[in-house]
Amino acid sequence: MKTKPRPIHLDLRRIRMPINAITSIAHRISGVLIFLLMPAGIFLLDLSLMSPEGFATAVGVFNSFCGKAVLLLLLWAFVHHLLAGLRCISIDVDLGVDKPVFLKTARIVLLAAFPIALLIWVAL
Amino acid sequence: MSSRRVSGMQAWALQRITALYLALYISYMIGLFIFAPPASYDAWRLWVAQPHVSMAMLLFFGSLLFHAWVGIRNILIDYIKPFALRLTLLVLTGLGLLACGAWSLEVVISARIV
Repeated sequence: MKTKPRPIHLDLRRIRMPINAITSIAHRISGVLIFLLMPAGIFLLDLSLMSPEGFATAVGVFNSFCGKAVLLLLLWAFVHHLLAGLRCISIDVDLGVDKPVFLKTARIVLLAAFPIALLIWVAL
Repeated sequence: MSSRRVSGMQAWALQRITALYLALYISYMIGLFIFAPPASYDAWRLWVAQPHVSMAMLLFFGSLLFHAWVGIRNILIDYIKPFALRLTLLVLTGLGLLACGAWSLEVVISARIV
């Protein structure tokens, strides 16, 4: 019996993307986003703890248009990453593996992340 | 080979343990900033300088860096095929994370001095 050759690595341009794949790739993208924003976060923490002037500058950054936009993006990344991670862990322990549930939870994670992030953003 | 050992089960477990701490810590901090944001520089600095707060913050950065290392490493191994490029990016990521670790250590510790 001849089997189809398995892909040796993942070619992003040729891969098929059902809803769970979109949730999964967004899990990775959100992780990379948080990773890339890490130096800026440490910088702002450093600034806020350095002096009263630094603290005021850091608060100013969070209140600026740009700061608010980046914060919303970061909150989305965190909420999506957290929900997708919880889904992963539940699948690890064999919960939600059946296809209909698997697809449904993927959709819930994908759709719920932004509204939750927006809610936190408004409350902050 | 020690590098092979960290690449499987240990990385998997590490990713989940750090994830748990990160989820709790970040959720707590979001709650804090919503319901009781620091009113002034002094309040903020004094809060961070408390031993348990500094410790929790250092643990947060440690978890974040380990978690990021496992995650970024997986992504690079999945998508970057040319060995030289993959190795270069892995080394840069590792160095960047180490630098972030040293920096955050310095930030948290200096908040406790004076």
